[in-house]
Amino acid sequence: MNKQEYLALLRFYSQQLSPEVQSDLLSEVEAHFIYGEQQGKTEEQIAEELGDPIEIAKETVGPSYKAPDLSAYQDNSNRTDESLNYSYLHPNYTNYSGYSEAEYPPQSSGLFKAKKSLFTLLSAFTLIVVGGGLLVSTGVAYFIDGPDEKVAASASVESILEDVDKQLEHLEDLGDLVSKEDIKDIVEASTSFAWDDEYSEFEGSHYEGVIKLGDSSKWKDLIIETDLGEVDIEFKQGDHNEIAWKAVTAPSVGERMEATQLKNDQITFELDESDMYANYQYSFVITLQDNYELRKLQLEQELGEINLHGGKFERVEIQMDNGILRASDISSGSMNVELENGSTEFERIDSPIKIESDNGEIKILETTKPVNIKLDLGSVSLEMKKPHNVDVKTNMGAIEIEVPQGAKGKYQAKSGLGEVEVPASYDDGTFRVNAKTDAGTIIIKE
Amino acid sequence: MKEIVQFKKGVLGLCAMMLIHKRDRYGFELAQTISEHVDVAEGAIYPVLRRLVTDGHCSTYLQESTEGPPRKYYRLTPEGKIYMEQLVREWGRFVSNINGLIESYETEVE
Repeated sequence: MNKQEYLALLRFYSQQLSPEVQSDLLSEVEAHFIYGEQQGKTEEQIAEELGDPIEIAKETVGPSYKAPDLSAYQDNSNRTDESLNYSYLHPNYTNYSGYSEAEYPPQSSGLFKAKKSLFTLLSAFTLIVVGGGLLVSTGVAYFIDGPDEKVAASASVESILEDVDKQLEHLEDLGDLVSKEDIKDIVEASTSFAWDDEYSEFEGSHYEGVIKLGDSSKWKDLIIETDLGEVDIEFKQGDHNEIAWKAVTAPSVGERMEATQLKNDQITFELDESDMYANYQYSFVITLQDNYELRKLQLEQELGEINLHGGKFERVEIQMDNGILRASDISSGSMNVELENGSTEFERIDSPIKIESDNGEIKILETTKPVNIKLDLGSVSLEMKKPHNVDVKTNMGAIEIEVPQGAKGKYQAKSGLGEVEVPASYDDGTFRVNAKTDAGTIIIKE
Repeated sequence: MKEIVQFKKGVLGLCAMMLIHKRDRYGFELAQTISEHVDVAEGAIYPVLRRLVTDGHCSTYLQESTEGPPRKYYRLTPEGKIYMEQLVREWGRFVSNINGLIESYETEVE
């Protein structure tokens, strides 16, 4: 491996790092090459002595490291057509010193096959009416959040079954309703589906575009509707308003994206109609002038993943049928989420939050405004940064709420079946926390 | 042997701090010197150095070099020095305890 290959690979493997940290790491390792060469070593020798770049990436990221799928890197680096290079999959490593000014932030590599199998899993699990929620949560965690999709695919039958066993132990009645053999069949069918498909061709084409909105914009609303795929949306500040997007998707959708523009005061991306089993990726980098506040951000998705970061809005509305929803560093007058199956991870959302979900895990960190959660099946974990009212209700699942140190709240917790652990409650507290579950433990702590 | 890999990883930070304690050093130099003492990939040192900085045990500064790109030097902070001294003590205790165990194992085998 020569220097350029080594650095490209290191960059690919370390895409989970923030751009600053990554850039720092890369320049340090590049410097290592230069010093080594001064000692008369070849690039290959130095690469050898440095060791596997994935190890450096893994150690720098720490325990949360997720190895990106190398096949995505290889697929793309073998491609000769430059126009097909795409920052999702390939860092397009041409000029080392230029990467820090990369137009787009590093993207997480998509877990294409994993999501295909998730779709099958979800369809299969809807057959199991009662057990659906528990299994879907397990499936989602394994197939989207799994540390490595190959590992997930090969290890999943066993581990999901183990989890199913554990879940069933807790719910003996359910064990009578759902045969373990049925579950095993379904899990095996869906995971082998993922496995068989591993080497199949990636079906999307690459598209990109920029919608320039100048500095005095009539633009008020952004609406993005998708059926399948991963949607990454990042808002950042700049000296003008603009939407830069890239997509790997079906031609019909790509062409529609290219034609998308401001209508009245709305921009609407309609990304539906993609083929059933294709796994498409969309990335939006939206630049807003300082303090420019959008009136509405509306996201709708059927299956996949939404990653939302940054931005300032009057209101945010998200509707998702199946998948993973992650949002961070957002400021809004309100944030309403409707989710059927899937998990939610929020961090630093400066907005009142309202979530209604049929099932899935909900994790919210560093909240500052009132939170209202209604969940049929799944657990809730919430960490408050500032005292505010919280109402959480789940039909089945644990609730854990961490309130700020020394906050004097009025706490009400009720579990139909399960332990309740609540600190001293103040009747004249400055805020209230109501937590209710029909089955599951409730913990409120400082 | 997974254990050996873990041992080496664990001790890299301590090695780096001791070398930096003697005088400020830059990454390449540290990678080379440490890999002379501990059999690890030279690249393993860079994540360790980053952690030393984020944990406040080291600070960095750039210095122009007549040969090659500017060098990023690492310097031990006062907190880093205290931490290093603690680690050295802990290491001594750890090694002598484990050695005690190994000795008793060896006499048993004999």
